[in-house]
Amino acid sequence: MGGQWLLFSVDLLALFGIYLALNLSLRLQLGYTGIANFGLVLAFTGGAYVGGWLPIRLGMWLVEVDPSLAEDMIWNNVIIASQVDLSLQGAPFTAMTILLLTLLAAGAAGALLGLLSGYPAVRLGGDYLAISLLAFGEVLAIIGNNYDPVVGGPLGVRIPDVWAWAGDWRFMAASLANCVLALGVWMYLNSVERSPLGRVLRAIRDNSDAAASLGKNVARIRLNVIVAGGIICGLAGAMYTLYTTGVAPSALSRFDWTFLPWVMVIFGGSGSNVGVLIGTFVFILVQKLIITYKFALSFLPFDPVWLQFLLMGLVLILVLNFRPSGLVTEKASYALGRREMAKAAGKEGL
Amino acid sequence: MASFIDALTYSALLGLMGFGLTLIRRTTGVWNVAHGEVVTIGAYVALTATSFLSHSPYFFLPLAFIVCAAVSGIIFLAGIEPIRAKGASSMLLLVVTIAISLITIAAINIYADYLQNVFHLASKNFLFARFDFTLWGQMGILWSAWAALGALTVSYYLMLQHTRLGLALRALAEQPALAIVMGANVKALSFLSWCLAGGAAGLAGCLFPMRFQCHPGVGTSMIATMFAVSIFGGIEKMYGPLFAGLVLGFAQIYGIDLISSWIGPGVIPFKDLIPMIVLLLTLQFLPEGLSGFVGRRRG
Amino acid sequence: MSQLLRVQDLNAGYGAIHVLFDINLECDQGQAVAIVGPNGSGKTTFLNSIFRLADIFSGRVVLDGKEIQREKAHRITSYGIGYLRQEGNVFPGLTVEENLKMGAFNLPGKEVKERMDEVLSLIKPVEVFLRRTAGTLSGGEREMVALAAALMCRPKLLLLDEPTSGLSPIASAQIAELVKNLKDKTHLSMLVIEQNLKIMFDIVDKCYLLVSGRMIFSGQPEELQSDRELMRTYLGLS
Repeated sequence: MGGQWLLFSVDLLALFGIYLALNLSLRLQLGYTGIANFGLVLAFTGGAYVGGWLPIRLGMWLVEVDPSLAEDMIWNNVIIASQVDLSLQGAPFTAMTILLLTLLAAGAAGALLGLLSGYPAVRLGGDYLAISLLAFGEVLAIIGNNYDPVVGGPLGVRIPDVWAWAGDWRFMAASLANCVLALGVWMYLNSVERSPLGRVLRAIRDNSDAAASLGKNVARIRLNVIVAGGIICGLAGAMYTLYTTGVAPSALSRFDWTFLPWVMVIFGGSGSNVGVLIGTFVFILVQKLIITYKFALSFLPFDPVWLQFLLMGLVLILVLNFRPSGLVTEKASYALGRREMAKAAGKEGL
Repeated sequence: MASFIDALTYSALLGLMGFGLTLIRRTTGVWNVAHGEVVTIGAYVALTATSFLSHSPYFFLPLAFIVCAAVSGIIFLAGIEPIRAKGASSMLLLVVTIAISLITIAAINIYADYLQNVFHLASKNFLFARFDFTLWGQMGILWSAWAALGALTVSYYLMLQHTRLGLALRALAEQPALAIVMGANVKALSFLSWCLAGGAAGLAGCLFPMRFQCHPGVGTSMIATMFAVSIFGGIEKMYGPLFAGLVLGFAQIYGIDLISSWIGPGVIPFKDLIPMIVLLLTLQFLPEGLSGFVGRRRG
Repeated sequence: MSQLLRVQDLNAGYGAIHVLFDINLECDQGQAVAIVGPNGSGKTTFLNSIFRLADIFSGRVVLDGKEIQREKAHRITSYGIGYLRQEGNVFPGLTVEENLKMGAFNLPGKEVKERMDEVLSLIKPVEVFLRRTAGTLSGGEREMVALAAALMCRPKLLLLDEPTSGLSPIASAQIAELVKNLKDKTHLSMLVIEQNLKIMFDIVDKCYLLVSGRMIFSGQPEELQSDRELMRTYLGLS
């Protein structure tokens, strides 16, 4: 029983880390800059595809694997992955090299996808931008499902486990790594918040014309933000793949990786990092509980998974109706700290 | 020839779906993401009615129209209007329609599960081609889809141009506050538009399984294509979706055949990318869509 | 002269924002009443609140003996009030003729043509560009179209929100001439917001001074003009 709870919490932690990173990416784009990115799934999928494509090839190159298997990587991927796993169990440094290289490539893929989807979109007004990004989000799913060499088509592929060396602590290590990613994004956002850049972003969000008239290149800055958001999403996608040691295009849905993050961010409050954190935690917990206790609802004449959709939709509507700014609202941020402000005011005023 | 007919049929259905999106955007300024699910509901009305009442699905077109008009109207009254009345931006309303879309996806799937588990219907995958009739050597669906789209577009166009209600709808699309001041009941007009849009989607949904496989996610999976139709057609004129439906329908079915005959059959699975490409090109180079372009040329 | 509009202890604003405090105002049949005051004092909000485009928190709005403060926004015009808004005052994509027809939305269908002829005889310049699209007109022409459209509903009371704002002196004078002409010929009652006091003091019978959401003066235009303190402090004139 205790083991089950441990597994539950570790998996919760892992998903929490991934989603928090993803949601903070949305917070950067929507909350700071007012970009309604309905294509989060695009860069996330890009990162996940990199995670599905690269580690197994790196693994074959770095450790001893029967080279004849490489003739059909997709067909033989389970055998190759388990052979690489065996070698990685005793080679944490090799495993971490694979991890780092994969993250690097995933970040680059995310940036590239952000650039590709953002470039045509940033000049469009509010909801047209949203629809443009929404449409873009579908592109990789169509390619992944139909072009087998990427990640094996709809069935997906299995990949080597870069956490294999941690043995029994494998899931714990992977979960913590996910949270480290989220923490990194959190710190990045915090530093943006207090910087002049943060104020420029909010200015663009609140009145892009006024910001442009003050000499800010609005389209360029928006594009930069989408690219930065894409990098974060790409990293999250790769980390997710490395955590689950598998990737299938069908599991990278618009619902899970665009709409769900939106619900969490709107619920928690797109104007606050803490709000996003709370929103993420609450929804991950609810989702895990529904999945875990699915069997208890088996008397229903339908799949209880749909209750989750129902719940998300209802919560979103209620929040938008009664508390559109979310659970935690945006706080005014000051260029100077309180003490400096008082000092400056004291000098001027008295 | 078969793919030509397929393309024609598909075009009409796309036009019907895009019609509703355009109508809603024009009159209420909302991009309705839940429109795809309304189409699916139309298909399920057809499935339910044909299974339990054993008539041709054509027989239930009016029923699908009414049910989907009601669903769309309820979506407006219960979901959109309360938030719109508080002065929400079109962006926020887009998020509202996504929330509604999640709820309707759940409802449709629960209903489909229920039909399957309790009545043992093949509700996860259905096709009614066997019910279709033949007229002048072609499947009935071709004629009926075009009849529905043509009748709807022409009658709506006449209504817009020649009635006071139409005038009010056009006025509402331009300056809602001024339209109110002049006595137009904005809520009622918007409600009417949503109902009509839902009805059109219902017709499309009811006709869709006559030729194409349907499943609980059929409308959801087509929403990006519907947006492509609506935006490519341009929201300025109501004939936009009809033309855009033709272009996209042919591009997707006939065009991919053509391309694969040059390049090879490898490209066929990627036919779903065509609407996205059209959508992105439109937003980039023709942001007002076809009708805006035509309107601008004429001055 | 009988009383047409009476506003009693009106408190209004937008949502949680309280803009107007205990406003009282009266307007008799055939009278032209001006509301003056600095920017942001709540003049437009006052007209909007009569039309329920702003929220009324308390107080009464009585038109011709009927209380209308609880009516829905789109019903107000059927009580006989026309409203010329400052911004977005025409439908740019419709022709001028369609704009006028839209103005008569509440009239029975068969009366529209007749009313349009009446309005065109009052505002003659509009007849020339009846077939043009409203969006292609100049500011002054647009203002005339808007004025004509506001008259289409056979109003007893006309609300005018800065009819000359943003117009050249010539166009302003033209509009002022039309308004004056309208008042003399039709005995229509008017509530006018206007920054251009010189033009207006000739036309109006009564003045209200609105400052920070409160009425601090009411009386004859001459009285206001002679009160140098008020004129200087709030209207920047001496």
